[in-house]
Amino acid sequence: MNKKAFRIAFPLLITLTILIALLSLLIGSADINPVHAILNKDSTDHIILFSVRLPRMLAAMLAGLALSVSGLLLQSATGNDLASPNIIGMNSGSGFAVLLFLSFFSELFDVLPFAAFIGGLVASSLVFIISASVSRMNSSGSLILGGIAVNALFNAFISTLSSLDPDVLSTYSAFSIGGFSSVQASMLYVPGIIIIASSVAAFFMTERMDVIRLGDEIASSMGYRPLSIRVSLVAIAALASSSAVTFAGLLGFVGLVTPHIARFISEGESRKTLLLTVVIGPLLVMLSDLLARTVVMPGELPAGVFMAIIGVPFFLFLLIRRAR
Amino acid sequence: MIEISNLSVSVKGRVLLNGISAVMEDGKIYALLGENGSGKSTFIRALTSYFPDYSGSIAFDGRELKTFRQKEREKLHSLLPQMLPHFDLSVSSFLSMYPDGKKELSKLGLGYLLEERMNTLSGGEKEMVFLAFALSRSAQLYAFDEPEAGLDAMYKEKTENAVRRLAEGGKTVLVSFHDIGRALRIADGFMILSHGELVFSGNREELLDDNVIERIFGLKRALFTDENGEKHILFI
Repeated sequence: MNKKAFRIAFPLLITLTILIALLSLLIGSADINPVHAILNKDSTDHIILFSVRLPRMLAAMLAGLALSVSGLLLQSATGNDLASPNIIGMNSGSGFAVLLFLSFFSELFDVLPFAAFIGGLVASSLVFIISASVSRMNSSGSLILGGIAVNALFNAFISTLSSLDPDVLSTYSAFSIGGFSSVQASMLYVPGIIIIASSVAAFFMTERMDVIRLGDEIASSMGYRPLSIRVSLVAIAALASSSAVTFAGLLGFVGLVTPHIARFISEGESRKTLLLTVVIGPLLVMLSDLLARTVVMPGELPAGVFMAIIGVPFFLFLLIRRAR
Repeated sequence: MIEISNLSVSVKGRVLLNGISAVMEDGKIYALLGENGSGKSTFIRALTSYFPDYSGSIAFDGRELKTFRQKEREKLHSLLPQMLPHFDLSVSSFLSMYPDGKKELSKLGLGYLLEERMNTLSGGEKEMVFLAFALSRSAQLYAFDEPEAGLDAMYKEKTENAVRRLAEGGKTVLVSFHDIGRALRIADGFMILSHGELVFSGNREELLDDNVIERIFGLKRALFTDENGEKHILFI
């Protein structure tokens, strides 16, 4: 059953992802002729396709990849199904660092992901410290409560900053819900490399993810150091998600829901779950962005809106199914 | 052979094990006894690399545990902990991650559990799946922390047989027990911990002669020798 589900779902999802990627390039508020766009380098169609739609499609893909992989790694590191970069404060910490950095050094664009990384790590470390001091066992309740507190704090900082310096964030609502309307190709190079590198790194961690699931005692007896595995997982997660925050804003839900969908199909094996996550994350975010900019054409909504509209019912369906 | 000398473990300033010295030979079954909080689980954890830091010495065939690289430790010890982890995976997917996992479950006569999911198993079934997992690993020391707690007679017998099989194969087996009767039935050597200290270490004869059981557990005992000259014990 398990193997069959994966064998059917995996190629199907890849096909679907390619299809949505192509649709993202072809559909938009302007009608373009793809053949014309590719052949005529000076045409408006060419500019729309290669300077607007392609970067945007890639941004959605990268953000989906980054946040979903990050969510999966965090769920594995904490042993908690409810962990994800937005819940444990990683995204809001990165978001705050991004805004702070932009207000002071707006010209140093390539350094932005590193500022975001530090912000994300600081915020998530705060959550882990709060969680550990509230209860000695790393219980799901305390992790989530710590996350809510730290998120509230950093979101307050973000609001303060955006009120004081409105130029930094002309589209505050789009930033806080996550979206790609202002993405340019130049914003993607450094974060893109980091995101792909951290996703590759995640594949080298799947065996260890299977091991720490067995608990610290068994993991130690098998010759692993559980604490250093957890720290590496969180660090890779922070690299990926903070890079995404620099161009996608606080896109939240995808990091929580994708690993759940993936696990539903893979039935829990870490390698299969990661393979599925890597496909489903980009698929969901591209689909959300496609809907966000076509449903109310020629206007558009932030992609995060549709992420929630698609994600929430599906997530609830999975929760209810699992509870039975 | 595993030689432990003057082993102490402290966590956050609290001394959990204090100055323990013992020797465990290959092919022998050792029972670890002691009241709750006496340090049984800590002792088992110390022998299975849970604590990066300890004082004293734990030597596997003459080589100090600390000097083994992480990867080499896989071949040293296999553990069945007292608290089993929770996760959602089919028994088959879990055990197939490790070469002989499924085979060991079948050897326990429980192959029919393979189709079940880990989080729908009963307590006893789950214990058996983790026993199969522990058995599937090839190691020098097998440490089982209260494997029989809460098990019914059938599962206790399966555990007992598995422990004997390991010892017959030349492995060192350390099992903690709550039930002295079960320990006396299965083990060759006995270690009794109290407040983190080893208060008794010896074989069956010595345990029955010594009044340690009465001292530690408050159990009065009656000894009798049957017609074959074998000693038996009754706890009152």
